[in-house]
Amino acid sequence: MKTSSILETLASALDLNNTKKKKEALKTALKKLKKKENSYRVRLDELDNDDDRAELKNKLKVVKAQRKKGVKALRELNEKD
Amino acid sequence: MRENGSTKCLCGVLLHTNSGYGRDALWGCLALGLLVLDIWGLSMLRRVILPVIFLILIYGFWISPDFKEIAAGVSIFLFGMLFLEEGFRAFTGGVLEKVLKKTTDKRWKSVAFGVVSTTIMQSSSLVSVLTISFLSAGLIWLSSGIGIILGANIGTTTGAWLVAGLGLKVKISAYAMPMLVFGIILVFQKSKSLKGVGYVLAGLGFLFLGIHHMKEGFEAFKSTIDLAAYAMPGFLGLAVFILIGVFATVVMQSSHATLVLITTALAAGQITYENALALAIGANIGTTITAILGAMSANYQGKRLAAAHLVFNMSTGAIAIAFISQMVWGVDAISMRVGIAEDDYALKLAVFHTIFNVVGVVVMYPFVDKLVKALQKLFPKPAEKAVEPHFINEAAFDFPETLLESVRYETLHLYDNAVEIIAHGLNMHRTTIYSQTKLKAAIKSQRTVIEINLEQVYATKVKVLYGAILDFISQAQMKLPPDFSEDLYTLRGACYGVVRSTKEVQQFRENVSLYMRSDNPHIRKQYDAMRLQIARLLRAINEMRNMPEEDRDVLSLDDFRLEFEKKNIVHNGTMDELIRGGLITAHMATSLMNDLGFLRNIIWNLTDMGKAVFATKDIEAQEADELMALDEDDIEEISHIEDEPSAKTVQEGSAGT
Repeated sequence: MKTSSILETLASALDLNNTKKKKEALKTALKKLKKKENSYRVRLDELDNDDDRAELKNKLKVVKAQRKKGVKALRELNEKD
Repeated sequence: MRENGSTKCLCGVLLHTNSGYGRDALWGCLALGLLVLDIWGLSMLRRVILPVIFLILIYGFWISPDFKEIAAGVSIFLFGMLFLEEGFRAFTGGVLEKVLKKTTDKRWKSVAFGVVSTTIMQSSSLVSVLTISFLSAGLIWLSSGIGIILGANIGTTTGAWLVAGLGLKVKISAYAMPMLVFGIILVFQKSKSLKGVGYVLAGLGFLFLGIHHMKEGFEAFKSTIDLAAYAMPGFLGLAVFILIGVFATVVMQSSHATLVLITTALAAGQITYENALALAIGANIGTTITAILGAMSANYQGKRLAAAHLVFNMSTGAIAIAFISQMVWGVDAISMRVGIAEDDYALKLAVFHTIFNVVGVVVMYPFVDKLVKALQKLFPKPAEKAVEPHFINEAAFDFPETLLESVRYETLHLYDNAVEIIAHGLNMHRTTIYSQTKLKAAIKSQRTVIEINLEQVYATKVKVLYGAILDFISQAQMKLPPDFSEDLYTLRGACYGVVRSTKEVQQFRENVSLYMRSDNPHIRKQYDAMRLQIARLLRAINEMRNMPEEDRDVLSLDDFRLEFEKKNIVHNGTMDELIRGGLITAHMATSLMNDLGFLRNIIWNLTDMGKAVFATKDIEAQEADELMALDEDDIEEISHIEDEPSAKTVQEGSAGT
């Protein structure tokens, strides 16, 4: 085994890169976003005003895109692990 | 108007309100008093007495046509001064500035400049008001200006020689009307230099026109100046004739004219030789009135120079009074040496005029620096109330977390000041933005242009603070552990974004102010929509600020970026429809396109600021937020995604089928 690989395994074992914490933080953030998305969906069904609905739909798009990025980042962290 | 004994003093003439002339003179004195008030910069007092002045002026216009003429003359004169300053400002940084700086960079050069220019123009008043304009426009320094004034006092004596020796009178005012005509034509030219020349020519024209009207107004007093009536020996005679000399020069707006009057009275034996000398001293003091009038429209520098002119001429007068017998002896000695006849009083007066001005310059020359210092104290540069940092402090250098927090707070302080520019620049009130009022309706109802000097607010409230933050961050970087540097960089970037936003608004403002009041509902709607986007973002940032830290959701700021993209009428085709339908002009379309660019930058900069300042303190959570935040490409991508149908729409759709 090369020295760099040994160091990498050691860092991973000791969680020197805080990967665990990062993953936890991402998971929490994703949960928050999911909650936000759900609340937006509920509100969207309640709204009648077109302007308000358009605004909320945009917000929904933003949350979805952010979640997508978060999931991708989490997957990458898992792969590294 | 003839009186006996001590009551023959000038004040008696002025206060003799039973006569029409005395009354006019009183009005004149009152007006002059008010001008002096202005010069002393009593802005508070002026604000209070402004309505009173208006009433007095209206009453004065009603009872005296002469007073009306004088007041109109003063106004035209001041208008000319404004034109002159505007004209010279066009040459700032140009050839004129270089020439002036080079010809006045040493005191002796300034004096020589004053002598030569006054000899050519044959008007020390004109040279002094031009010098005030140069100074106000920042083309020369105060000490150079004083040098020119000293030189002008010597240069003006050549007039007496020309009048007395050659009977020659150069009347530059004869060119006033052509100057005015050529000047105004040039003012309408596109070239900056031609425009500048036009302003200068028109300014000179107005200046002379104003003086002409003042002279016309004072014409009624001219006949009252019967020098023989005040002839008296001794010191009292000297004092009285000095005052008459001052008065006559103010009335005739020309020390040359006073000198002619003196020479005539002397030749006719109406006054003694000593009286004539006193009159010449008085004329020298009275001639400063033009500079004092000129300084009214000038800035503090112009006022300093006018005061220097007055101080110099009064000091010269005092020296002449103190050494009058020595001067008389000197005049006689020189006259004998150059072959001037014993009874050629006109030339002897010219000799006296030259001697006492040269003596004045020689005596005052070494004191110019002291005079500059005294004038700087007397007329201080108006203090610009620049804001100071509230939170950043060198004491925080040893505590990285505190330091970061202080920079964060200071960034918000900078943002608060910037919001004044952003909101007012787009004609919105911060109280409305931060209230619970429906913004759409509020923006529709707010159609008044808010008066604000954006440049000044920027210079005093934003630029200064930004500079202080930059300086603090640069110093802090040397002392902070590397872990903190990134946050500090982010905050520095946030500050830059805030400052940039104020600059964008300054470019944006003109069109907003124009189109939000347009009769065209389509363009008005577009500008209202832009104002609304900014107002909503400012409100959201303010709400986020007032939330508990754990509730702040910086990712929600991305909503504003998408909103901009979705509502970007260039991308969604609305712009084309508006142009094709002839609903907006091509000119409006280009303005809109440019301003949408500014709006985009403001939204991105301010959302970046919000993300930097309100980011969570938990490093991992902060990193997670950063990973999920949407960049330019993400926003671009999702802006093209079709809206997904909501549950309600789906249900309604299936019910329909």
